[in-house]
This record gives sequence, structure tokens and C-alpha cells, in this order.
Amino acid sequence: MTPSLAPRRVILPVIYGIALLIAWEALAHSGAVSRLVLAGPLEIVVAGVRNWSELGFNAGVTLAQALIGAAIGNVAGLLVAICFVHWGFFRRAVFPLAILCEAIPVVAILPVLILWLGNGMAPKIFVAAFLSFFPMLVNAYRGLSNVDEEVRELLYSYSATASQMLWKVRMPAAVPFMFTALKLSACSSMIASLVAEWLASERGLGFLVVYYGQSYRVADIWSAAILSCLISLGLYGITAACERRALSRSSP
Amino acid sequence: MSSSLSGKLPEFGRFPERIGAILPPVVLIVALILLWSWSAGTGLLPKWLLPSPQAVLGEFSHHSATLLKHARMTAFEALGGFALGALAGAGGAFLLTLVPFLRDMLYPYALASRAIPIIVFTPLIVVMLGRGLVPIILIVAFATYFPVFLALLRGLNTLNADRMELLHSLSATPLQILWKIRLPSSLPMLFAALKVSASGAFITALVTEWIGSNVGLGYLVMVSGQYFKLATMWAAIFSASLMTLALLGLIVLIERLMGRYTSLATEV
Amino acid sequence: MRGPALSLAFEGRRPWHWMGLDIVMLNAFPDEATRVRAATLPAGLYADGIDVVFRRGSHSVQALKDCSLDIPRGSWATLIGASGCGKSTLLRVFADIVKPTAGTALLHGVSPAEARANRIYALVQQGSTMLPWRSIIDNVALGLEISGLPKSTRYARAEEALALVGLKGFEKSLPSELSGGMRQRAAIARALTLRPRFLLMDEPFGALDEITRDRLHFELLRILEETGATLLLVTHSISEAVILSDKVIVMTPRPGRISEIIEVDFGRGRTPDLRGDPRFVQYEAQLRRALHQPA
Repeated sequence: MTPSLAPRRVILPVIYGIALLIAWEALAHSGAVSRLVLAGPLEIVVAGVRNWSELGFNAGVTLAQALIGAAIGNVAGLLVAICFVHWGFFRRAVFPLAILCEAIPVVAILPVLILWLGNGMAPKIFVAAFLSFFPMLVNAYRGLSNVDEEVRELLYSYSATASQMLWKVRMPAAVPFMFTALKLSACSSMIASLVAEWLASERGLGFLVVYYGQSYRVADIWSAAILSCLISLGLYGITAACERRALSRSSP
Repeated sequence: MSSSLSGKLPEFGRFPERIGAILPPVVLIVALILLWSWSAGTGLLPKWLLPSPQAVLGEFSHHSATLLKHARMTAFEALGGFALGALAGAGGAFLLTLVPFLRDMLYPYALASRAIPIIVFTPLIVVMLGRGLVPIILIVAFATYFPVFLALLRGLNTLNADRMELLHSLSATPLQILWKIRLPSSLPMLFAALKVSASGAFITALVTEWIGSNVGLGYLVMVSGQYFKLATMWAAIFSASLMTLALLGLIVLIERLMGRYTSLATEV
Repeated sequence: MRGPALSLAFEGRRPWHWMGLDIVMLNAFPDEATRVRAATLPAGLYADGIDVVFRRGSHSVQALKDCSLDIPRGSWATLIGASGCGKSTLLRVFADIVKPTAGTALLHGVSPAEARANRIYALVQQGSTMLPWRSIIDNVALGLEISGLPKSTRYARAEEALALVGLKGFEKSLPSELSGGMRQRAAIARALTLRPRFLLMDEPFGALDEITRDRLHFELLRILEETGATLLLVTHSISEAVILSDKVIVMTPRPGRISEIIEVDFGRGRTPDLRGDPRFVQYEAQLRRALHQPA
């Protein structure tokens, strides 16, 4: 990137963002759109600040569900992927089913889960875990088995054991693939947690959005929805930053 | 010669390879269904928790008209939104690739959009547009738009230097480069994104129906859950899964048919 | 550079080390009986009637047919032939990566499986096989790490080997920061850390440019002389075969067979001037004739 282009790539998006906000604010004040539907950015910020304790508490609930679910799902996915690598028969029986399950709209069974697990945090965590599980399984398996034939021969010539192969070669080789899954799960676990709160829930940002929607508190809906986006972006950003740090050593 | 180590892996050689690949999952599915049927029959699983497979199957034959009505709605939302979103995503990616000014301006937003849970805005859009078909198609379209847009944008801008040099030496126009090099090379990424958004489209349609509609399989799942009509609920879930798999199968089929682009273009 | 080389070759105080019967595998040698047997048997590399048949589903391919050879310990042999002639397969039979369908292969009188378990041989592959997330020294020490040596020994030996191949000062670099030639040197260093009696090399210089290859040839010869290791090398370069061999084993494809064995009598202490020797041209011509002979 030439130095003369770099500022352009920063300034243009900033100008665009500011222009967008101004246009939005103007549209909200112009009366062209009903006040019952559209709130201006200033109004949304004010609503968010006024409401901060309610938003904060509910955001915490949603975030906790997402994080716990993502942790469970990713660890389980990685463990199953390791089993896939070591037990070929298990993999051949289960992998096609796993790919099938990934395609299935899992979130749709949430009403069933609420029947089974009640309407507390458990079903939301379950769905978040489920959504994180399959991407991690598929990606980690791909990474763990992404070992060059020459490397396998070399380690074989050293009579390396399966666990040496796993820890010294397979796991490091799978790190980039695992980060792909983690980035996916940063967003999907948040979505799962939010959406799961639409049904039978009294807490969480997802619940808040629906609750405000029913009472037509437009600025509050916007502030809650935007806060969810910011949290999701934050999770993604943190994961991406970890990825960059972890991979900076091995790739030039 | 280089595949010599595979001799150490479990041998396919004894019986035909295809059976070796197909048999285990099929056996597993059959075993799971038998286990399910058996445990439902003995009362190990209470009926309100999981009805027997026979009951779910019966639901398909007895209430096929109801299921079909809801399924048609969901299919319409998901497919319509998917098509709309994919087209818009492709258009956006082309536009940003061809117009550097737009790319510089919008690129950070495009990147950030990957992490935005667009589905959270459902209640808002329902407030704006009311319940029904339009808001759901819009949300599905948005959910499809971003993955396709990002994948294609990345694919179109991941350039193979040799191929670019070749076209440059032939003094090709930007449009020719887009059509002859960038697009074919980006097809593998595009198909990967389409597959992800295909199941995403159905998930989004089903979930938005919870609060945005009173027809559709997602709505049916929710309502039958509330009235403890478990057989209906599972029948609806299975119908939704089958539709998702059908769309996925279609995309995979197209990908296979275009195998010349989708498998060779990956080797850069 | 002479110092560490000597210590590599003559470490250990037992009498047979001085008599050239050394198996300098002090730590990586779990099986005492194999070690003694290997140390007292005279042969170097020995193969008798090796057949290899690869089976894929219903059809099978005969990769090697009735291959026999006998290479004395400490000498250098090259496998050469058109692609598909099974030269890599034959090398992999000695490395215990491919199991022969019929026939016997021995390294110092022990089977490839025992040789692998006791790390008597070291493998160098075409693509240098560096793990990209490990520094050069960690890559070089990988074999010792797998055999469970303590860290200090590992690093000491890896540094010795790196000095031997002229990579001192690059210990902390990543493979991606080195040129192809330097990575290949690191791969040779990694093989040397095991203090192998045999170097099994599969087109180790195939991916390098000719200038680098030329320099590495004579570095390899110097190392081989210093360590006294036996060499089996796969190549498709005629001049490489002449430079690096006492015996060139010519193979023909479909099925892979040994068609001719040509003795190259350049002795030890070979230098780049070798290329100017009239015999060099004769050997090359002889080899070319053997390679182009109709099967």
C-alpha cells in the first residue's frame, strides 16, 4: 500500500459514516418516516445512556450464555475431531451425519429444548453450543488431518507415537483452521443466545428487543439491537486479534 | 508413490470403496432410529418429551395438508430471500471490485458486517413493516447477502499474479479481467458461501417466523410446542431439515457440474 | 567447522567406535540386542528379491519386481531412473514406510522395522519438510525430541549439526525466512542429529537451483566422509548420480526393476574439479546409455 493511498482508505470510510449518520438524523426529523418506526441516532444514544443499567444487566446475561455455549461447543467439537483423526471407523460412521446435522436448522428445535430444559439459561447455552460445535468439528478435523505426506513420513521414520504426532504436528497445523471456527462461533453463539431469548424468556438483550418492540419504544429497540451488534463485533474483533497474534509467528 | 503411507490406514481394499464409505453412516442412522423407536415404545422416553418415530411419521400422512401449507410459506421465504440476497451480494461485490472509490469507502463496513447479527433487527423490521412475508424475506435476504458479498469480494480480489500478468500483457480491459479471470477464480469461495447461506436462509426464515409471522414451519414448531403437540412439532422440524438438505443438494449439484471451475480454480 | 564434525563422528569411548563399527546412537537406542547385532554384522544395505505390489480396490500395480542389491557399509549409492520406475518406493522399503510384498531388506543386518524403531537411519525428503511454526533449531531438533532426549542435549546436538551444514546464526529464524537451499541444509542437519548409520535421501536437491545444488553436493560428501555414514540417494539427475556415488543403480519402469549397476570409481576426497575429469564424461555417457536402453 502506497502511503498516499492509506489516508484515503481511512478518511473516505469516516466521511461516509458521518454523512450516513447526519442523513439518518435528518430523515428522522423530517417527518417523512413515522416517529413510531424510526429513531434518530442522537435519540438512540440518549435512550441507551438513560437505560444503561437495564441494558448492561441484560447484555451480561446474553453474553454469558453465548460465551458458555461457545466454550462448550468448541471444546466438544475439538475433542470429537481428535477422535475422528484417531479412529477411522468412528469418523466414517459419524462424519456424514455430522455434516448432515450442520445443514439442519438446529435453532428450530429450540421450542423442544425449552420443553426439556425449562426457560432458564440452559436451552440458550445448548443452542449456542450446538451452533459452535459443528463448525469447530469440521474445521478442526480438516486442520488436524491437513498434514503433509512428507511430514507424516518423517515422523513415521522417527517412530513417533500417535500422541506425539497429535501434539507436535497435528495441533499446531490445525490452529489456523480452529481460528476460522472460533471466528464463526463468536458471531453464531451470540446470535443463538439472542434469538433463543425471543421465546419464553424474561432476561437478555434478545428478550429486551422483543419487549420494547411490543410497546413500540423505537429508540430503545434500536439501542438494544445496536448494543447486540457491538458486542458481537467486539467478540469477533477479540478473536481476530488473537488469531493475528497466534499466527504472526508462523506465516511471514 | 507418495500415497504409500495410506497403506497404514484402515484398508479400503477388502470390499468396494463406495460401500465402505456409505455403509457405516447408514448403519448408524438405522441403529439410532431403532433405539429411538425402542425407547419410545418401552416408555423409557416419556411421550411428551419425544414421541415415537411412528407417531411422527403418522403426522406426515394425517396432517400433510397443514404441513404443506406451512412448508410452502417457509420455502417461499427462504428461497426468495436466498435468491434476492445472493443476487444483491454478487452485484455489490462486482460493483466494489470495479469501482475503487466505492471499495475504499465501504470496505471497512463490509468487513465489519460479517460480525453483525442482522437477525436481531427482526423485531425492529416487524415494527416497521408489520408481520408477514415481506419483512421475513428481507431479513433472509440480508442474512444471505453478507456471506455471499464478502466471499465474492474476497474471491474477486484474491489475484493470481501470473494470470493477471498474462491478461495485462494482452492489454485486457478491467471488465474482461473480471469476467475471464476474477470471476472463475472466485467460484470456489462463492460456492462455499452459498452453501453456508443456504442453511442460514432456512434457519433465519424459521426463527424470524417466531415473532414475525403466523404461518410457516417455524411458527408451527413454536405453537405446537406451546400446546405440547410433539408429533406435529417434530414433523415440522424434519420437513424444514429436508427442505434445507434439498437446497444444499441442489447447490452441491451445480458445483459438481461446474467442477472444471470449482475444483481447478482453487490451485493458485 | 572441523571440531564439531569430529565430535559427531567419534563421540563415545567404546573400542568398536574407533574400529569403524560404531553405531553412534547412544541415547536413541532402546533395544540393546538389535544394537549389538547391527554393530557386528558386516553388510551395509542389503536387499534380496524385493517385490512391491500396491493394491487399490480391485486393480493392483506392481511397483517393484525382484530387486536385489548389496551396498557395503560406508559407501554411497544412488537410485536413478525415469519417473515411475519405483526408485522412491525402493528407498521407502528401506525406511520401513512401504512393506515389501516379497523379499528381504536389511540395514546393517537388521530389518527396516527394527532400524526405524532404533533410529539407525535418517530420512531426508525432497521438500525439506520444515514445520512452519517451529524455529530452525526446533525443526532440526525434532527427531531428538521425538526420541525423548532432554532439552539441553537436543539443542547441543542440533547446534552442532547446524554448524556442520553452515547454518550457524540461523537457529532462531523461521523456515519461511530462509531460502530453499538453506532449508534443505537444515533438513540434512536434522537427519545428522540422529547420528544415523544410513542417510536415506529422496531427491533431496530436486527443488533447488543448480548453483545451490552444486555447492550442497560437496558439502554432503564432506559430511558423509566425516561421519562415515552409508548413503542411499534417489535422484533423476545424471551428473548428481555420478558425483555422489560409488554405485549407481539404474532402474527401469513398469514394473520397477534394477536393470544395471554402474560402479563409479572416484574414491574419497572428491572436489568440484571432478567435473573436468575425462572419466566423469565417460560415466555420464555410460549412465545415459543405460537409462535409454529399451527394457
